[in-house]
Amino acid sequence: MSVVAKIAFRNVLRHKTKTLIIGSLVAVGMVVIVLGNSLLETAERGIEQTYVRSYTGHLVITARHSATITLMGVQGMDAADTFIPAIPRFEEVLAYVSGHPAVEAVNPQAVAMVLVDYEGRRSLTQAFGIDPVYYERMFPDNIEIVAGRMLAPGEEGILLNERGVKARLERSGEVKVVPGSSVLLTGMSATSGVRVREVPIRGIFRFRHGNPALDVVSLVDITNMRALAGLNVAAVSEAELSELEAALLGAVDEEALFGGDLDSLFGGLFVELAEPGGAGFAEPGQDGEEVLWSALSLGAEEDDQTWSAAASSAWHFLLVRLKEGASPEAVAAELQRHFDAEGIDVEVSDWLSGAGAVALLATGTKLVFNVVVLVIAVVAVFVITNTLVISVTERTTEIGTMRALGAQKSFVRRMIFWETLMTTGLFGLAGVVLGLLALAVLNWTGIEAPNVFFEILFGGKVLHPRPSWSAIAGALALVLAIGAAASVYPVSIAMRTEPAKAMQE
Amino acid sequence: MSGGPIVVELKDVHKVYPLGKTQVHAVRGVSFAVEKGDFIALTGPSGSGKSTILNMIGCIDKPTSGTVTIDGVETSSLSDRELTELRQKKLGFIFQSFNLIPVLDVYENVEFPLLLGKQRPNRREMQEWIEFLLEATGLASHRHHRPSELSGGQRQRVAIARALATKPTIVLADEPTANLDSKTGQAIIELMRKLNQELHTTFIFSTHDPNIVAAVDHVIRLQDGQIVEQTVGSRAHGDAAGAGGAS
Repeated sequence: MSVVAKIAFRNVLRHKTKTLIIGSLVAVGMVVIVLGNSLLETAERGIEQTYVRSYTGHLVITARHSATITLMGVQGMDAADTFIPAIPRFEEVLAYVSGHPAVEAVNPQAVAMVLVDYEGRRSLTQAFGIDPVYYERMFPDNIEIVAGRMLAPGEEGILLNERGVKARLERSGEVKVVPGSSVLLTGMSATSGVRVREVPIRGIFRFRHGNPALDVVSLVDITNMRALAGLNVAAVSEAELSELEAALLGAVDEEALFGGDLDSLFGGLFVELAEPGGAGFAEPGQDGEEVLWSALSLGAEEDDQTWSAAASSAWHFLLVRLKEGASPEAVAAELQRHFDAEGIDVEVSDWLSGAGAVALLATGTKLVFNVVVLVIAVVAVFVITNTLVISVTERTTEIGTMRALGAQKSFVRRMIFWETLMTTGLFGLAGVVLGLLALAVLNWTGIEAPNVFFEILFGGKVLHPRPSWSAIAGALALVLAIGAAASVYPVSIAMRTEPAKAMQE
Repeated sequence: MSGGPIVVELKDVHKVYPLGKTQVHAVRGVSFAVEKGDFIALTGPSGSGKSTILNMIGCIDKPTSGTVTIDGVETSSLSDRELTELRQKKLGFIFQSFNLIPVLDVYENVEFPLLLGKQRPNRREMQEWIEFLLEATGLASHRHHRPSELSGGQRQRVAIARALATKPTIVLADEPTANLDSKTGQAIIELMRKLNQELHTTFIFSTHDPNIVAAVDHVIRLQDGQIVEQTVGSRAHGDAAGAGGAS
């Protein structure tokens, strides 16, 4: 051991109070960092696994856009006014991605916020428009059907979320949602206005790896979804208004709208439309409201063919699951290069972009946590600096003696630096060991989420944290950096100590 | 004087310290020379300038004007690094309060200056030399003791051994007996005298101690920053003859 290291080490042992002040600060800090980051990283890994496996896949392809778009729709203040564009040249995109050697499965998907009406009860749902064939291939075990069945290929219908929509519709206890009955779905978009569809309930489901944020999701066949979301609707609805729709729109004038109460308005309207020789819009036995809903739904029976045929390639997202070992970053870059070269205006993003705010919770919490840690680290630097300054000031005679005997300033600098690094390093390691012990205990017992926030953060009801080696390495680097930073000023004081100090006793 | 080559030479040395808004003229035009193997004392009342002169000889302070030459090297133009190197090679220090490094044991304290040089001495030679110094200072049986486990006299013996570790040309001793009882002080003086004679190392004391003044063969008396009397010759304290006086 060099004489500098020897003296530094013995000084660390000799100045017990100073060592304990600095050491305990460092050790406690390390325990907090190791525990906190390991907890959050476990949560982050859990959320990533859950989302990649069950909701987003590894990559999410969308049309190029400027808004923040996730699988849950447009995020942000102007979400209501922002239209999610359909993926351009979808067949080409699908064919290329499906044929990529690193890709295991793909799933096209669309999204819209939809109002669900069921026997006078209402609830909002985030509707995922899917093709069940692709969906089941992509996410073979992410949903559990608790009643009814999964959508059949090409079939219209909706699967309601047991914990979300179904629970809310049944909250009053007066109605019971059962597969086989129908719900009225109302979608609204900036481009196509209000769209209403009557859709049969095919089943009730729950996500196997869900979280409260995902309880709002329902699964809808893509044909109805496109109508509700206004996907490819602009050209069709504006250019090809049916005779009935034109008649309906033509019949509504301002006087009719504002001249009387609502019942009289609709009553008059429907009576007029149902008159013989009219457009034949209302069927015998239908009341006015039914006719209105029927008109707004754009004639589900005959128009479905038009929707399905005209917009069969209109999707908001193409989700991509990669084969084991494939690098999402590399594949994303490769796909993006290809689409750019082909002039296909799409964006290839990672799962996190698609998952949105909920998945960012752990990442965001970790960021906030580490900002707090950094603030504490800065405070620690000041505390340690202060302690070291006192220590150096008490030792000016000793340092002066060393200088008088022939020690260069660099010797003094190395000695103080070593002392600080030894203290912070040793106690830092002790903190890591304590943190790992605490983690082992928590891993064994598990941490139960006390509320919904933590349930989302934990990616489930119980978290079994595992050590984050990157967090530990980062924490050790941080503690050494703190030591180095904290020693700068004391070192400068020590180096300014003149050898004449040795004589001044 | 021993008649050897000159190892320390001060020429018209002045030292002025700022003290608040005033200036203190601590040393006023002092000139003298010290020959190799000299055993010399700077003496005088407090504030006479003896410690300032010792510091300038020890290269831990610089004159405001005039020159200080150590073993042929004029020190005023040297950098801090060069002065430190000069101290390590040519000078040994004995302090009033011993100034041992508390975390090192006796052996390590003596060894310490040897480890500061650019070139490390041969390990075996170094060990033999340290063992010799420990024997010579009567510390062989205390080599693994820490300073806190030693008496004042033992600590000063360690300081003497440490001062001689690098085989310096000059050993500077600042009030080496001030913190010792008279008996121990006398023993320390005798030890230094013995080593001076055996190793031909120059010893320069800054002291009030009449026992040291009685033991040296060259006394420089200072007052108000000037030499008022310089006595040269073996056991010079007995001679009243001034030899040059203030320059």
